Amino acid sequence: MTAVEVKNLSFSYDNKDNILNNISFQIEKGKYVSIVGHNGSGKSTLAKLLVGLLETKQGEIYINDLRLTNKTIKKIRQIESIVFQNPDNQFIGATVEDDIAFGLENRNFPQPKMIELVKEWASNVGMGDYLNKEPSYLSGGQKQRVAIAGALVLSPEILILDEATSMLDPKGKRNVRELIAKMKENMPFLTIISITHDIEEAYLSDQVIVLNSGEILFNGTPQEVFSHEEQLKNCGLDIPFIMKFKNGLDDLNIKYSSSNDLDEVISSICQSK
Amino acid sequence: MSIKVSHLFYTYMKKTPNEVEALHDVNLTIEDNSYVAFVGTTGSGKSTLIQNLNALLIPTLGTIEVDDFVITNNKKRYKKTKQLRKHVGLVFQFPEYQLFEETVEKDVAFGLKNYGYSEKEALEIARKTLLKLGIPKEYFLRSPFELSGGEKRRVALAGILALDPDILVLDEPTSGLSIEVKNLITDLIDNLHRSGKTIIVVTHDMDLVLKYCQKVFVLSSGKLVFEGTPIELFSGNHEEYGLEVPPLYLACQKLIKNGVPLDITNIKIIDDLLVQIKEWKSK
Repeated sequence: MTAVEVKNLSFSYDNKDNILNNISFQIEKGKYVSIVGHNGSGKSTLAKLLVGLLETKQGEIYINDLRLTNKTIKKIRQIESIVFQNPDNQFIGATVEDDIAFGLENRNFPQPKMIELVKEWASNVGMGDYLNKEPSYLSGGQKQRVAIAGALVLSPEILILDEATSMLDPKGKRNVRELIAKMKENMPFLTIISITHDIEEAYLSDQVIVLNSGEILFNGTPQEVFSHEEQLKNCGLDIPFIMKFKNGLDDLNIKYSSSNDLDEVISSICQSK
Repeated sequence: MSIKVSHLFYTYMKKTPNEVEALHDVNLTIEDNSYVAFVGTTGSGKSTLIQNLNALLIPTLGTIEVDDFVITNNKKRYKKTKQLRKHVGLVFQFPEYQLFEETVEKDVAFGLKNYGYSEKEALEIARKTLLKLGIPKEYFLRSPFELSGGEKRRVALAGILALDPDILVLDEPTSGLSIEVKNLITDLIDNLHRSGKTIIVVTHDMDLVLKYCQKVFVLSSGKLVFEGTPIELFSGNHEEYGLEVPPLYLACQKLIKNGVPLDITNIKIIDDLLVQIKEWKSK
């Protein structure tokens, strides 16, 4: 089943220069997809269009086969949740507990059920011991995990992360990355769309879409996409370490396992000696 | 000539209910013409420390000696601030946000004029510095706001380098840059180091640390918890400090575990590793 379908989408803020230029792609249900691209590539604009924060004027967006319009937006927002870049700008509650409950309160959830769900999600993201803490006591990574709990407590079918890790330090990034891996395992039907700068993070996803100057440059598995080292470099993007390593081995004519896992690649070159 | 930090304590908003101790009894020495990094998680005290190095912050307790300058807490203001800041150039994170002048050359000349250079002299030095950083003549009279991200960052750097500081302190010099601009900036810093300057970077970028730094200082909750070479850090307690190991080092470790005899101290970039694998394979 298709979770997201984008057809011939164009967008401009000023009716002159197109930020997005006639892009089309599909995302299957339950997939973890990274959208990468350098500053100004249009990726954040795309995220805002996907959740209807910007209005689509040219082209079509379908969420679960439902076309995104002013009329369907309410329904679609029950399907999608989004987590933004800046951990400080999206913490609305006075405490962790309040913050996770915010969306549920808006939907008039019965209180006993709400308390139960909030506790469950706080502990799912590793924040179970912080329920009564105020945001000023939390690190950026902890705030982002609370934001993810607040998004997932609404049981969306699609989670959109708009550079959710880019303002975090390496430890915070790793924690959020591990949380995504855990969600993928425990929630096989959840579609995750991550807009990101982090190439190593993108490598872990099922599908990578590369945007450059508002157009799709590549769309495929991380292995396919990151094999285009030169072209990616030309649009300001690096490739993951493992791909660089494999390319280097190719240049030396050294045989290795076709695995995507560094451990296996390394043990295969050691065995073939 | 060197930097010596002795028993440095720094507390924000001292004697108020909001007082926070950001640095606690930090002792360290930075040798002349070395290239060192300060690393640590957000809130570890890195930025507070580097702001103490050029008297943007004055120690709550303790002493900082930068060559002939001695900064202590006994006065509210440090008297030789102006001379010190010509000697220690501090480049903030995202320095391009601080560009403000009408033209690129005026922006770079601004600092020089504060140091008593005439308009003409200042512009002359500014132009020379810009050329050194690869900003061509045609750009000198443009507005700095029309430039691309990488050009802006170089112009901002030029503003500090025009003062020809002997010590250059850079807060996250590579964050938010495309891969090519990132390489350009790191090469530039490397050249400055080779020309004799002392380089101090604050960074999360462990690839940069591994490639360039002779020494790493790790701060955690305001305390200096580690000092040593990058290799010593990555082979030791990096996880305890919330730090990541660069994938290159991780790959080296895995290869060694699998019996490949690598000389890890000579591996700074992926090409170094590939050369050693090639040698090993051909034996």
